[in-house]
Amino acid sequence: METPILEARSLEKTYDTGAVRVEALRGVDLALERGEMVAIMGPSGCGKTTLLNCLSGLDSIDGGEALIEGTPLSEMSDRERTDYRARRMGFVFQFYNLIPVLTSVENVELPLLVARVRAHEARERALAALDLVGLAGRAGHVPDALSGGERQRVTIARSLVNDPAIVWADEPTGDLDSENAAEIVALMRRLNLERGLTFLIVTHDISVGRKTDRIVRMLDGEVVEEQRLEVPHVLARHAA
Amino acid sequence: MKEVFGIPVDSLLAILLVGLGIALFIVGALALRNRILVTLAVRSVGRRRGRSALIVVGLMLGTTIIAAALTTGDTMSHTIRTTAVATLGATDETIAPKGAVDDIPGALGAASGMQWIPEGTVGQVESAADGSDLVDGITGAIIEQVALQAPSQGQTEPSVVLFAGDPARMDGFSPIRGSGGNELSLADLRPGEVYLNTKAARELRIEAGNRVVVYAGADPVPMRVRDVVRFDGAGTADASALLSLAQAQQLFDRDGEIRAVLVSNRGGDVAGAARSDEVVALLEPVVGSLGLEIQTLKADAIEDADAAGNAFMTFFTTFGTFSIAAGILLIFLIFVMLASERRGELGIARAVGTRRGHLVQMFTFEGVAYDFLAALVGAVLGALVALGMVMVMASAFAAADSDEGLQIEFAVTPRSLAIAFALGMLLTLVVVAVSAWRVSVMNVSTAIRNLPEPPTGRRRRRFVLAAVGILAGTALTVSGTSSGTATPVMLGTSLVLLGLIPLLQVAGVSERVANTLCGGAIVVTLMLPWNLWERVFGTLAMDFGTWIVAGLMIIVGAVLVMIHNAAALLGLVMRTFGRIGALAPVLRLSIAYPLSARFRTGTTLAMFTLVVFTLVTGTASNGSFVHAIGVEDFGGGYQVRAGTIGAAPIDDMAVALRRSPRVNERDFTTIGSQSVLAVEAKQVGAGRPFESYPVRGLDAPFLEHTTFGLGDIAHGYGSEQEVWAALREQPGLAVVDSTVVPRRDNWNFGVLPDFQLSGFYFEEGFDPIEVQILDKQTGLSSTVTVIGILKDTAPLEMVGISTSEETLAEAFPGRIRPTIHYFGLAPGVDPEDTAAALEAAFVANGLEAESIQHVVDDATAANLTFNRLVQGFLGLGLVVGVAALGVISARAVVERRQQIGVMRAIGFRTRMVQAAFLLESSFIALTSILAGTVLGLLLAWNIIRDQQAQPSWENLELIVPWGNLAVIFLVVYAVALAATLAPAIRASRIQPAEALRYQ
Repeated sequence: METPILEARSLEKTYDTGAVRVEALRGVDLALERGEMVAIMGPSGCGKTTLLNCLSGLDSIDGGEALIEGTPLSEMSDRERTDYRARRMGFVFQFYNLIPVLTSVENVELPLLVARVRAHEARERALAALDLVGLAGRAGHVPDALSGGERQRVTIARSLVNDPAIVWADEPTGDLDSENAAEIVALMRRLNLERGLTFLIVTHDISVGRKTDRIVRMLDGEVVEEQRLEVPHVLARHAA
Repeated sequence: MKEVFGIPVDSLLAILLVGLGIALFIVGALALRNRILVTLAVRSVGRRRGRSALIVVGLMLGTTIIAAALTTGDTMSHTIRTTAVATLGATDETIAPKGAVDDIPGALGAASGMQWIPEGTVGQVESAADGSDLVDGITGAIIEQVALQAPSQGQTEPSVVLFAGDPARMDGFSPIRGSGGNELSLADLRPGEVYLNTKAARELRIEAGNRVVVYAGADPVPMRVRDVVRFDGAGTADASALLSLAQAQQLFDRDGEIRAVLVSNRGGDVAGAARSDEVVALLEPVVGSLGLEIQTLKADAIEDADAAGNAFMTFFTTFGTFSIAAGILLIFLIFVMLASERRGELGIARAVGTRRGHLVQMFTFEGVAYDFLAALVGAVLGALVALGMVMVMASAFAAADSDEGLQIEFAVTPRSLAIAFALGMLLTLVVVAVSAWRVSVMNVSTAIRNLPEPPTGRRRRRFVLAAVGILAGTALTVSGTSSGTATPVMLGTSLVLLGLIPLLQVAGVSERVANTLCGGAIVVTLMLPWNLWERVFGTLAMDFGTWIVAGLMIIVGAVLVMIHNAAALLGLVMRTFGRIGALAPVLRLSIAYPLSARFRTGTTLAMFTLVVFTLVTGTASNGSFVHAIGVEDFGGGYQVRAGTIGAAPIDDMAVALRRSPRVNERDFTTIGSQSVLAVEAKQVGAGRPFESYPVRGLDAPFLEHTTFGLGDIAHGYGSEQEVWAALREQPGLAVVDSTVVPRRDNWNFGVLPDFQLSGFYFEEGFDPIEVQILDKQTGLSSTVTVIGILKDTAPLEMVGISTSEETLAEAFPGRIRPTIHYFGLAPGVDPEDTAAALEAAFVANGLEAESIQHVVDDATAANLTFNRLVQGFLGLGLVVGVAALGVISARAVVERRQQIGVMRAIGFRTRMVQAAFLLESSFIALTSILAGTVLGLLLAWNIIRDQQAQPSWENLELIVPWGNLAVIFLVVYAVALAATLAPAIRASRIQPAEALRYQ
């Protein structure tokens, strides 16, 4: 059996502010296969975003183990984790989090420049990524000149421009209207299917969850339910 | 000091305190009405203490600079007052023959031929003061320059002031303190004994009991030093010897005669001088009837001290103007950024019903809290800065006069600190109120969502701005042209060009093109050679105000060009350095961020560039002037200058040299002599009164050989040589020094003499001018015709009305004897050795000699030290720039918290985040240093070019102290990076998960 791209074993995370101690993750176990699209759902404060941050190396863990492509995150230095994120991960956030002073194409090519791709090649790949998300014509616009849906498309282009092993999406439709939200989810699904991208999506929105392969439900820092969805494309892939 | 910024100190303080009182009353009344706003403001101050401290530092810089300038003025005023008190002690007035005590500083040469008066005069004056409580001491005195020699120690002091008073009448005067601290009396001196003050004893290296030889007349008189004493009022702050009046009368063979009657007013050494007018009124009848005059020496000295202090204060406040302007920009920037940080909160406050006025109030309350602290700390810090400056100045003065040096004593008056505090606080309060008003103008919905402010009413606003700029600019230009003043013309032209920017935009020209065109036009027009300005606007008078206005407007123009074209410039940088792998993403962000915040970047660029510009202009132009003075200017063709005491002049120096066994006559190729007379002078027909001024009698050899340069020559004369020859050949002609001549351009800070010519400008040539000179002692007067004006580079020793010795001898028979001698030396003869030999040869005449090269070296060293002091003072403004970088970097960390989170998420290492911040500051600092240096050098070149066309400075060359500037800028750049380092490190330590958690 192929090694899961991502694996969490008894993952624990506690926030201790001195006055308040919050156990955000309490022994979470989870595994993601390559090319899988998984939604983490649950009420506010259940630990969804914390789980995403810990698994992506954005935050540290207090107990258990997180493995990415078979390598324990705890064995990586901050610099190695940073480099790994630059080369193998993409991020999509609820509020887009584009750099406001850069144009769309400059935002998209930034991860490539960080990964020391030559400027010319970076620009070509960034334009291609924008084309893939349907925004080739908006390459020279700064984020303030784009709509919410367009901004999120730029974010998605940025997340996939470095051919990542996995894309992390934290409430990607949280700031969008239903029409734009549906378009963004459809785009992610298309990229998942066409390019085999692995997605881990944190969302409140059940309509987003329903478009994924699997919904993992969390409550009070624990995984309480996993639901594999039997939607046509999922079934087709399982059959294959 | 009596005046600050031309306003009497007490009046200014009263105005400022009343202004501040009104402002604080209004703020206080509003605070009482809206206590919740005060609470909000106070809590905001305490919320982030580090940032609050940074704000206080930023706000206090203006106050610091003002306080430093005022305190420097206080110090100089105090120092000169202290010297006056040491010189005069308790003596407030002197009664002497007319003209006998007119103030001729020692450097100008000793006058000879002063009359003696009967000792009985003292009793007559005492009778006049009898029954009055204004006076507490009257004595007859002999104050005379003598030479002292300590044979055992092998030391000679050619210039010692001998003071002799009547022991029975010295009660109201300063006490004489012996080496043991005990009070001594002149009556204690036995025949053949003398007191020396500590300075004289130190210079002669002797102590009580040693023997000295006094040279006071034809024969040397051996005496024994009874004690080494401290005494104020010997007529000098330097070396003095004390005798009883009877002893001195015997020494000078003037039985029953004195030089002057000294009067001490009640009320102490300084306060007593305030009674001088009353004392003069009391004594004038008897003094006048005796044919004498009463001089208010102490009051005059205090007035001079205040004028000198004022000159220093004005100098430093003028040079500090740019830093103060930069400080004001910083205050504005700080508050605008503070408001932008809280824009969301303010939007919500507005949404729930807070009025705009309330927001203004809230910010003003917060501003007052910072302001109070900043003004307080700034005033104290300014005094400390002044202390440092004073120490540097002390070394400069010591370099200028290696023998004595002005003993600078640090002083600060509460009034100066209060003025600096009130001025700083008011200035900040106004800027805070304006910036509070600016930030209160907001779109509530976009503020709540932290979106950019939507454009509103841009077209109308542009029209208004254009109209105001063009109308005000035109009015100023017309006014300046009609009054022939450069400052309003330059300001007006700049405002017209600024007014064109919105007009061009309304006409459809892009913002970038409009700003580039007009900003560039401002820089180019203000950098044009000034003679071109005069071709367009006619003759224009300039002063330091012109420099300040031109400098400010040049920076405004340059910043407009820079900020609107930075993208193109930085694109080039990106294309060049962006190929370096790890640098590319960092460079991209560090360029993009400053470009996106134009106001913030523009303001910081303006601050930094302004200070660098001033520093470069000031340093380069000052340095050029310092290096422009050479031996030829100071020596007038001679290599050694010597002066004798007035009581023992050498009438024929050539004969004296021939007779002296201690000098070799063949060492000297030329000898020129001068006599000096204290006279009163006035320009004939100018309607001005007589004023005291020295007149010099230059002998024929001096006139034949002198090469002292002339800055201006009267119409009818073709060359300097022709003028000097005319003086030699034709009695009744004269030249004057340039301080008495009116100028169209006023670049002077010093105190000018009361005697002034009028009716022409130094820069424009003149017809021969008649000046009447009056010898008060004899009542004789004469008229000389001024046909030349010495260059500005002529030394202090040539100050006065210089005519031929023959002219003076004819006009004032028996009054003229040479006391100054200039020597030209044969090739290979060492001037230093010759000066020493001359002093040794003519010790009985109290001859002091110095090589001109030595004088020039001392003067250059002193000027360079002073130049460095100016650099340091101007460099204070760089603290403003560095503080600005610190403030905006700290703010950027807060603003970009989420973006930093994203950067870290997509692979930016911590070092890359730090580098992005440091590069961003580097962009501002390096651009400013480059732009400020280029513009500063251009202006300095313009100044030098203009001066080359003026009398006196034809040989001036622009000398740029690259080494000094490089060190300053490297240090500043390093400090700027250091100021950014802490925020950069903070930024790099932001945990991405933490940063991305909230919107």
